[in-house]
Amino acid sequence: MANNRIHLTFSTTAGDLEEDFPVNQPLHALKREVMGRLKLDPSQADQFAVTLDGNLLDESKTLGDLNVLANAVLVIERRDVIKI
Amino acid sequence: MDIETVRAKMAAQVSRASQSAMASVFGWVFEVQDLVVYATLRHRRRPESTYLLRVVFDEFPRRAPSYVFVDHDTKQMTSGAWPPNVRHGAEPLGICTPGTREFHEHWHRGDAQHPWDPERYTFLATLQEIHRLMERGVGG
Repeated sequence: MANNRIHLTFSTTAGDLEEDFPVNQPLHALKREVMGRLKLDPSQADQFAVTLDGNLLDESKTLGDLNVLANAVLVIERRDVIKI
Repeated sequence: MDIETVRAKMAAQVSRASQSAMASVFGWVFEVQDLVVYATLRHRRRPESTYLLRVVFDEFPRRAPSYVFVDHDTKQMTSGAWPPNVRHGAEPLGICTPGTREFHEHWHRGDAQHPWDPERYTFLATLQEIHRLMERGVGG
């Protein structure tokens, strides 16, 4: 874990972002940053969750708190399914 | 639109989905037969639950692709091929979520809130939504 950063991929339907992310930043802040860089509206961030292996992550925690391993893929997905 | 253009546009959609990191996370396996894509969907937390989704791209992108679940072996539509609580209750057989032909041309035909838009409702986005519907239906 060089310089308190960890190599991860965030995956969304708008694209993927793979790089080193800070381990000490709350996940909700990382989510907003990633959404903005992938041209997803960060003001809609509350409608999206972050999952790892299908499990919801606590976004108030940091990557370090969550013990996320290097090279993991975190998915940013809608909290609710769209079935109308 | 000529068939080669349809085929190229379908290939671009499938490529985008298969190259997404999401494809490995969700465990998607794709099989392409002409203008039909078969996608195997596996529940992330209950991997014994797998389903085969048939996606027909004829007339894409003018029309949305058709999405139905089919039997793994025969690739025919059977009631047992569907995950719980995913199939719409009315004819035709289909999934009532934006991006599917059945949604845009039947149950929500003319719905100004959800017009068919191939840029918005990509194969990747629709597949992810159906995968999540499947997981929610199966539970766990």
